[in-house]
Amino acid sequence: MGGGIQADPGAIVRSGQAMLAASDTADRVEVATHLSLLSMALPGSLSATAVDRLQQEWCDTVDRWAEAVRRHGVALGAGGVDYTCVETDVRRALGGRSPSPPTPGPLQKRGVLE
Amino acid sequence: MSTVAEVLAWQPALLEQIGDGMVGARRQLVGLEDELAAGRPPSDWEGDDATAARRTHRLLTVRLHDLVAEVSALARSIGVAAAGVEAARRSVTHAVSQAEGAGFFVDPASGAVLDPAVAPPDPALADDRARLREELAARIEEGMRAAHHSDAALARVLGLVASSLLDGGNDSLADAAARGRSAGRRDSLPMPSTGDPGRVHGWWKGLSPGERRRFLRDFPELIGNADGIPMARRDEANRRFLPLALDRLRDQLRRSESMNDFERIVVQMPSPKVLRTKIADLEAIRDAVRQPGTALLSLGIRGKRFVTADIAVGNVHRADTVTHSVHGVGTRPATRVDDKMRAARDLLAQKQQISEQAGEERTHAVIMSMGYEAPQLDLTDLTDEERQFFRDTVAKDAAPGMADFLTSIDTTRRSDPHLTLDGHSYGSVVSGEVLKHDTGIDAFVASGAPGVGVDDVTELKVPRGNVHNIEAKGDHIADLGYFGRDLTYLEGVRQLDTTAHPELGLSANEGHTSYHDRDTTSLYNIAAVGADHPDLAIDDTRGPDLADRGREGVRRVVETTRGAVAEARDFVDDRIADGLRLLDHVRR
Repeated sequence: MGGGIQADPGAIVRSGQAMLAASDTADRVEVATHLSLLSMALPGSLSATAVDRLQQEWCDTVDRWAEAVRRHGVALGAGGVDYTCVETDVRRALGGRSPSPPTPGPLQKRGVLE
Repeated sequence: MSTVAEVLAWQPALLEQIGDGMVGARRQLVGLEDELAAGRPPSDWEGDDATAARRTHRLLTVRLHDLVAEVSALARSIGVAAAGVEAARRSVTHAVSQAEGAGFFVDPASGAVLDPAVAPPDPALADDRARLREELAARIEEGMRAAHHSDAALARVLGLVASSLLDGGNDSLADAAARGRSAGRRDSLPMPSTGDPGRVHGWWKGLSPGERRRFLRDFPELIGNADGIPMARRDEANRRFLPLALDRLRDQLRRSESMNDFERIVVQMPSPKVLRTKIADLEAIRDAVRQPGTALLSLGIRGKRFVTADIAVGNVHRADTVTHSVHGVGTRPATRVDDKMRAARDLLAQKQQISEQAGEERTHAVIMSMGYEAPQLDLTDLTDEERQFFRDTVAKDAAPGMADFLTSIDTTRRSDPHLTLDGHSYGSVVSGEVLKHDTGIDAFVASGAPGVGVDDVTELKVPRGNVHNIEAKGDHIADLGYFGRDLTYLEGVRQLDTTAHPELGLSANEGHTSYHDRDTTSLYNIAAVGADHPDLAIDDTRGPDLADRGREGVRRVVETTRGAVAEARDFVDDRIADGLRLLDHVRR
């Protein structure tokens, strides 16, 4: 564990539960199946070619986001996980698309985070 | 590039279903706003873990914003593409089935329209078929252009999403969705610049219903006067444009009145006199189209002196027959629209009566055309070489536009009506020039015509046996034969009567201005031809009158003299050439 928990643990657990709920909702979001029908709707089109590329690179993006949220929620819920590990996991789950943090945190300053 | 066969296989309904699915996905993702807020780490939580948890939350939030924008852009662009593809596909389908129904072959790859049939012997019918083939090819081409436009716009958004180029911002998820929707928009396909009716029709049919509404709302002047747009939509656009045009001209009048002549020339501002005339024209048109059963099919305010308009009575889009009445010198909306509309109604009533007489249930329409700026008998036009009534300059200038207007009547309908061109006086000269173009006109009636600009009836693109001339007693203008040969003497022109027929309740016509008078033989004859009942028209059995014979005699003397002079000139030229050759030979 890093710097320890100085807040109300119940509040952190509730944050975790909210994130798990978000993950559950995101799990139900369906984009890949819909988009897979596009080639059938527009055979021989530029869009049919473009959607092939999109399906390869983007269609599981909601699933990956839901998975990352779930891990974050679980970690918050557990309340005792080392957040530096969680953050690294989340970055990995989001792949190349994760944006840079807005400001460097203390762990980054210490060279712990990439 | 997709082929015609591929576009015909496109499934807009499935595309719409995909779009609906994406809208559902967007809604679910935007609904995560509350969970995301509730999942934010507590603000009083401090330390390294708290910092890392906040950063993670931030990462997930930013990514969700982008995701919402992406899904939203896809939902919008797929929905827009579904509407566009449906319209484009329908446009191509209609044109292809119409082409196949008419016996043409449509290449499934390129969309080229080929005619395997033997050309009809009548050149006018052959031209008509060639015109139809070209029109259908243009419509298929425009439908394909619309299909490719929809496809390219959707492919662009798919590429944007695949390349992670959409930014969902940092505000709410609803804002991210709005950003996505904005990125999923597409520009409407611009109107074809050629103005060809078939092409414009294909373009219009290829627009989605929403795009059509926007064009009509934002560009009523353009849509109201574009040949190829369905007549009902033109009427709607012109009625929308009319009050805007009045406001615009009144505003210009205020500004023009505050300028001197030099300033007006510099900014190309019309004179107050011209603007007042145009305002009066517009007000007269506004009053005329308030009458029930009228349609304002064109409205031009950019003319040199007047406002031009085509006003229909009856349903031009559905009527079995349509007569287009073109009026002559001195007509303009402010002074003549009332009596010309009355004449149009009388002609319509007469056509209906003829159908009833023939035991038919046919529908009719008449277009009162002031669609060109007719020369006026005033000093301004008499001193303007381009507008003098004894020149055909105005007629020649008006002809291509009027030909496109007439073509668009056939183009915009499912089936062609029996289309008659009814030209009076200088309107006959205009009509003659119009009929040198392909128009789809089935019959032509000239009344009080000082010629129609041809010496041979085959120069007019009208099916054989369908050109008619009406000349009343005492109409000296019709005797002139000033623009081409007097129609009384043109072979292949049917001469129709103007004498009284009391047994039919018809009175005689006299002079130059009575051809469209109610209950006259002339109006009856124009109506009979217009109602596609030339069998009921009454022939003129009087033969040429004294004035006709005199005029024709003079013409023959002039032609003979011209021929003799030309022969003498050729003879002299030949002798001079012989002499020069001899001189050259002697010198050597």
